[in-house]
Amino acid sequence: MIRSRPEPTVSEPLWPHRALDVAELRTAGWSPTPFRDFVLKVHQRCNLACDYCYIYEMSDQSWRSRPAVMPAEVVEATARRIGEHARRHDLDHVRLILHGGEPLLAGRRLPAMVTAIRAALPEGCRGDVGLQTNGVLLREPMLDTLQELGVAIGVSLDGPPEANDQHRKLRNGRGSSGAVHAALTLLSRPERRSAYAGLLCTIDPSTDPGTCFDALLAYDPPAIDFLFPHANHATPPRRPEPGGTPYADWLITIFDRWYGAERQPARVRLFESIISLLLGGHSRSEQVGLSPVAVAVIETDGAIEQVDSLKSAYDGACATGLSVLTDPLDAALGHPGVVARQIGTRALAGDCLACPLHTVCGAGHYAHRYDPANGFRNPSVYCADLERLITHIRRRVTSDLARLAEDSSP
Amino acid sequence: MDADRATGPETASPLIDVTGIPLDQLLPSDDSALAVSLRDLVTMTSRPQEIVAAFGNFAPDDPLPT
Repeated sequence: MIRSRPEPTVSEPLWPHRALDVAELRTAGWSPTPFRDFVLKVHQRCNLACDYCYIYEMSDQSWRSRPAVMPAEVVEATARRIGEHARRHDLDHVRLILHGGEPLLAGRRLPAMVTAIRAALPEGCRGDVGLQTNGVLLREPMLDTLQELGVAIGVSLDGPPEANDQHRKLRNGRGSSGAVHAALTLLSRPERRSAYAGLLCTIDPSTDPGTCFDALLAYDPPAIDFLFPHANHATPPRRPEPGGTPYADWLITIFDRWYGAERQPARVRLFESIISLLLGGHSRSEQVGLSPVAVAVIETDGAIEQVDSLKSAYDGACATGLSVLTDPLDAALGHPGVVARQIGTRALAGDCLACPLHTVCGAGHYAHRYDPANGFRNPSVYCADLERLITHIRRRVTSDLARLAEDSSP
Repeated sequence: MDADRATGPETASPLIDVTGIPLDQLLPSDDSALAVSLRDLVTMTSRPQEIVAAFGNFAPDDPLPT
């Protein structure tokens, strides 16, 4: 018997929490996509003090009341619940992402956590493991351990030292780039390739995009993703010029470098997803498109939550009221917040549906649609930037395909 | 870039029409971004598995479904 989620509270937004009728969707034949990504908040604290951090510096402050490290009983319950979910939905592949805070603060406990969760997966279900770190604690012995465990490591870096250190600071106020450089120097060695997932870079339009891209490529990452800084209609992004599209302009400079290269220097998820969507394919990015989001977050106290970037919207925005200690993961599949991210165009605002680009932008990142007045059924606060970026990419790809078709015609 | 700003979403559908384009011939062995994207598209459409959006706060280590 699956316990239904607690009744919504008045602080929850109108949409989807109070206005999306999940029962009606199910009656009409919709069924949820099982979770495939499991984000494990193995450590709740961080050794950096980044000024844009959605966990510590924005609306939600739930980290304060949670255990610093995921206790053994929560690890055990998490493993059991993920195994149960994989078995129930006959999944042949799940992804476990060790996250925080800073997951490397969990130190020597990490191997036991990974081993316990992998051991709970049913036969025939592969458990790929990733870890997203700020890199400060990534030294040779830990790297050896993680590589032996088959963990793919992602590192957050916002470009060259002068750009990175504007936002990504140590607790003493100094920049973190020196420590990250040491980590990435290790990780970019050929013998570490299997342990290197890639880089995450948060966009800062006040920096030079070309210099930023060069700084990232200097570490030879297999892949990069560029993230829009978290913002919403109550806390909009910085725009020096009203009506300007500085985030798109910054990305377009990098796109043109990346796209025009004879050999793609690294995969870039945001750009690849937009091209795929323009060609009739799908997106693997949360930032564009309408692919279902199948991510469950497990906090250090066992709480089952929605994607953590929603913490930028309001206090408690990720909560489902469920816990791996008492509830199966399937219970979260009926939460309106989870459902809203799996129903494609049915989650979009009327203004979005009237725009021809909506199948490509998908209204952007869910967190960026938030307005305290009505919740998450709004255009992205980055709507103008997305329109400009997508239109630019469309023009470049259309032109090249036409040329290729012409060249290949007899 | 000004052209992007001036025209905006100019068509009823943003999808690029690839009808009649011989994708198999346009899948060059080069590693340009367009070539990689075309190969991914062919792979994606030939696999039955539903494509899901990956967790955005982890580096993109999984370009194709398995």
